[in-house]
Amino acid sequence: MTDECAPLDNVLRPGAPSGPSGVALSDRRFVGQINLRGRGEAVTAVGAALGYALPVEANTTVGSGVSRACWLGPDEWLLICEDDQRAELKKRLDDALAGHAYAATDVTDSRAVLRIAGACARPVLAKGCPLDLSARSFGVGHVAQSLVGRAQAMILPIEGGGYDLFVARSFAGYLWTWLLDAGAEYGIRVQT
Amino acid sequence: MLLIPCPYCGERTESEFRYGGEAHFRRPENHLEATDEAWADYLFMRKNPKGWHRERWMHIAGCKRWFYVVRHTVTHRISSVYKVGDPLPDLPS
Repeated sequence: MTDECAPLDNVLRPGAPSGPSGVALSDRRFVGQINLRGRGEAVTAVGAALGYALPVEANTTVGSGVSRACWLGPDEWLLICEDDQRAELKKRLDDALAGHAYAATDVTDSRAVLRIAGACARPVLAKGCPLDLSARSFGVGHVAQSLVGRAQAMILPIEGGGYDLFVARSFAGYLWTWLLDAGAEYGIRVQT
Repeated sequence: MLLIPCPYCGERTESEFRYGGEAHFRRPENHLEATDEAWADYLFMRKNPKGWHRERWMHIAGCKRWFYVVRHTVTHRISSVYKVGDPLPDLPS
């Protein structure tokens, strides 16, 4: 993976805070992503391969740090890992699921991951996201696919407040500029 | 704005969904012998009721699954949602 093809290169500009800087925006470049489809016994078999059970409750995620499984639907998950771990993870899944009906697809290049953090991350996101973002209903351990602005995104709350936004790479530039605009009133700091 | 209870994800706002029209109409059996009227009925004619309506919705910004909603076309009240393959719930009286 080369840096030349990062999805946000055409809009990403480091800059000093213009105000109180309650929001930090950054590009989590190249997060390994594997889409997993399967049902029944396949789900159990994956649990053994990962070392933890896949989340079967809607809108939840299990794992630690970068390595985690996010519920996308009743038979669909997004497995996230370090970029250099994805080949190994895919092989581990393929080995564990041999003989089951399943699909494990490396979709790393399909989405960009934008991180919005800081004390005002939630009010900025709430400007364009119809989810109830209050901490009691959507905090660490939750995940949801929804809309941010006009873009479909998977929204993953992170430790310490803030969110990782997984968005189709063709929407990454749009969402980045949308967040810069939405965060302007709080002072938005771009981190690289 | 409707608050639609997706049977997989829970309550979400209408803008996350796409409407799929009337549910549960069937393609003519034995299509080679079906009459023009039967094809026209299948392709073009819909109930369009003033009242309770079984309809298809897709959670396009969420889990991307199709499911069914029973909605009142005047009040927009949703009485039930159910998954593909589930038994049909009764319409409210």
